[in-house]
Amino acid sequence: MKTRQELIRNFCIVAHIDHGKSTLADRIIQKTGAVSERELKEQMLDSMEIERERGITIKLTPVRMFYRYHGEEYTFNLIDTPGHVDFTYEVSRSLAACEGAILIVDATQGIEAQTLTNVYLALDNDLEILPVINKIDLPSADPDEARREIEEVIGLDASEAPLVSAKEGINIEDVLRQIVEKLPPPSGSEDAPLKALIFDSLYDNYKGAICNIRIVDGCVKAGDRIKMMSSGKEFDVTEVGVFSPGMQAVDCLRAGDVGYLAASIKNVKDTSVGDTVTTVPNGAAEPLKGYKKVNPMVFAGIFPADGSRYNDLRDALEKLNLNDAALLFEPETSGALGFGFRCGFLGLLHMEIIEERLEREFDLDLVTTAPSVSYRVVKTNGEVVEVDNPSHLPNPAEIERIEEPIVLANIYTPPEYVGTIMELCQDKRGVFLNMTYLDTNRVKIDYRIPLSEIIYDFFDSLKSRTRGYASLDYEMDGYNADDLVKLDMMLNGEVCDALSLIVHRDKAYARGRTIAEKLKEAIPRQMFEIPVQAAIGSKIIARETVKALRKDVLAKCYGGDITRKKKLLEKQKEGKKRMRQVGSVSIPSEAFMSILKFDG
Amino acid sequence: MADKRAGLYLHIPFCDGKCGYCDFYSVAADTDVMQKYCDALVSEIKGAARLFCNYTIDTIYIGGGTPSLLPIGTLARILDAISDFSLDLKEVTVEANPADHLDPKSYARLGIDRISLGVQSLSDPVLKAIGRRHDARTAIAALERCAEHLPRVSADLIVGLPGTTPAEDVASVQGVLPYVGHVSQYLLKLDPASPMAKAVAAGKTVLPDDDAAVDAYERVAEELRQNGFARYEISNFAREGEQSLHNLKYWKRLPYIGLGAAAHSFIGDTRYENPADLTRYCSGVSVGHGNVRGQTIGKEEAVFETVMLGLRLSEGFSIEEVNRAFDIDFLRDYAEELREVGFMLRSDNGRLRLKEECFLLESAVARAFLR
Repeated sequence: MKTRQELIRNFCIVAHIDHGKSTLADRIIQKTGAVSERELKEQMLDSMEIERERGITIKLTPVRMFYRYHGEEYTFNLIDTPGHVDFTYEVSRSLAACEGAILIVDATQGIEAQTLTNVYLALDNDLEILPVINKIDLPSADPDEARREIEEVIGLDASEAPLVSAKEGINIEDVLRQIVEKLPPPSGSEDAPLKALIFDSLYDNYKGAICNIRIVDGCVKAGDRIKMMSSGKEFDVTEVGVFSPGMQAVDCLRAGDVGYLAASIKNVKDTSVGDTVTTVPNGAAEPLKGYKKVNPMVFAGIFPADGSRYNDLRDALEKLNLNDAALLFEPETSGALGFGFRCGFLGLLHMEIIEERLEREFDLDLVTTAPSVSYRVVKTNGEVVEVDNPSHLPNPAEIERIEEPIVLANIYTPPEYVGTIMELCQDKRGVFLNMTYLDTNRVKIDYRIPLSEIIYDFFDSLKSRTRGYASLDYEMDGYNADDLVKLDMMLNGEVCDALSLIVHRDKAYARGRTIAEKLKEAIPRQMFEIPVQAAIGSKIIARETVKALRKDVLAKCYGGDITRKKKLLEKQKEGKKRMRQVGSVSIPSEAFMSILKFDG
Repeated sequence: MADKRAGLYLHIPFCDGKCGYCDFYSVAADTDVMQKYCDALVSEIKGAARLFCNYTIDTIYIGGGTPSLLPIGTLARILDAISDFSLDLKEVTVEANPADHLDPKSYARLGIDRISLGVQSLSDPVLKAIGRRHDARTAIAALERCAEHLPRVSADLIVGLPGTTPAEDVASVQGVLPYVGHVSQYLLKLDPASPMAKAVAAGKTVLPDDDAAVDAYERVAEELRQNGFARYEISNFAREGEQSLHNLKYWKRLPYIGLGAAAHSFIGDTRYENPADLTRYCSGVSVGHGNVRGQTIGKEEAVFETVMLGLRLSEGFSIEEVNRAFDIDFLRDYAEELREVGFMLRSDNGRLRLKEECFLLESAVARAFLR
């Protein structure tokens, strides 16, 4: 007779993008009847519009299902996970809530960059891996090859891996059976003091912050008094429940369960992802080990195009922050762009998604600075400072050296593109480390490349040089000092802080020239001539000039034109109000955006 | 004689084809429609004469569209109706297209003493490209005929048309000078919906760039000056005694009554606008009620208008008069604005005016005074 816990399976699905995670998740849900056929929307776990559009998942939404097998009813808790290199962190959180991971490998693609990253993450978290080979319905499917790769590249036994087609619904039953047979159940103690791991949170307007939790030990129900172990703050639980996949309240959650908890938590900052929840009194003595916290790698300043909407931007970022623990932000002031926030992201995709969500969900018009990384500056007095905003770089006279973050980049590619890839990496100041042939058709090239070069259009260049066949995956690999300088843009003699950049000296001239040219086109002519200069310190390295305005007139103004002219002048004046001032120079927001887009 | 004076503007919204750059309201010249329109116009004139019996009309301006498309008989009918007003005429102007069969002798007989011809350019390829119905030869002939029968002749010219060089612009001006006492010289401005604007947007037509156009304009202005045509307004140049008295009313913010479709009036402290659509106009003809929209101008806006319009004139505007009329201290109340754009202004004898070299930046200056 099996215990309650023995009948639970907590698992996630890991895979490279587009290998079929969401489709398989849909099928599993469908097969276990958690949602009726009629209600099932395709890829329903991708509940966010932006994700649907891009065909990728970002947000985690757990689902509880039931599966009858050999006379027993099993509870499956499935956690969906994202598949992009930026979101390794999000994957690691859901992994900590699971005992097992289904590893999907696309039978037409084989093992790809992100497959490996996720597998290693899962193995690091002591998860049992269940390989599944997907897309066997496609004509180019090669399941044997996929199996071989799994065994050789990862070292897992794939002899019994189910061969499925999530799209066509083939062999899903095999997967369900193996979930029961091969993945271990959770093993906490129901009688021990409560230890629940928060692996995500949502914000609900009525219920407050809702924590997604995995009960490790003990149990929790409505009415209990709980404590967040990281802050010591206490709350009274108003509701606990499960995801089916919609939220469904239950009496109590016990060791091994995955669900949610609501406790009228007004402030989102009180629910820290990675935190341990316990009861008061008689709570747990020690918290659970925290998640592997990944730090933001990419920074950008985000400003409201309309200065009066600063508060709206702040509120929006706070709301996003709740559902996106990786997002960091703090207030920032720019001479040119006014009041805004310096935000930290896991990567470019993360940044783009946040920007898009701010614009769409919160209806905000934004001006964003070019993304930058965080530099480590060693000053002449021995002090070491972290600088994530180029305009905060200390005086060059005080700088001993500047260190920049370096990543270890793994690039997977068909052999014919090796030359062009190496050329790209060299151009990006990369240092070649290693090249391995995974098989006749796949090469893995390892380089150490400065992160600042990666975020500056590396990914797009890689894709276009290899017609999309190459894939990239990277992780932080320390800091390196290099000949880095601060490139300033000056308008009419005044530095425009929002346009300052830290670049390698060798690249400064080209960059400065490009930006000066763009500025010259973007700045409308004004009453006086405007010199546009790129400078390193006091040395001007590029210069353009915006000629003075010579014509701003209504040639004909007779009786019938007067009213119309007044309206036109009013409209023009309004337009000028929305411009940004850099000293005496007026620049429209749109101009900033065109300049700050780093399109090389 | 009534003690208040006003100008009278009549709009004739008919044209034979639409020029590439035009942004005025006009419709095709159909005989029946024109007659119907004139009936309505005559009716409005009579009504206005009754309504504004306390005004004496001293200038008349018949504009369009193309007033020269009206048959003489129709024009006579209209001018006849005007005699219902109290009149003390100093100037009666009609606008004309050089392509039409002009009859300046008959115009003179009707009491018209000034004609303004839309010459635009004396370069045939340019005229064709912009959709004018005449060529240089026809224009000169028309100017000649008008100069023969009418005491005052004016020509409209445009600088900055596609395919023009500064030399051609100067040549156009030189070509008209023997026949005119007044020149209206405009920098090209395209109505965004006009065929030319669309052609420019599509890359089919290339305009001289702004700087080239401004240079050309300055050269022509200099040519005019050297020939005794003083610039009295941004775009208007005249020999001694030839300034357009009617148009000066606009810039000096004096009253004028506008009749006809789309016509504007400024009476008291209210600006009126007749409906532009012919049907609407004909069905509700009457200044002051029915289809006429009026907007009363408050004090601050009135001050702004005075500045905006006054700066168009070479003589600028009198600060003393503004202070008196609006009970303000202009130099003090607008000190900040004056600080911002003062470097483009001149002040002498209590009058504020734009510096000559800043005439073409007039809008930038006016905007500064907008509150």
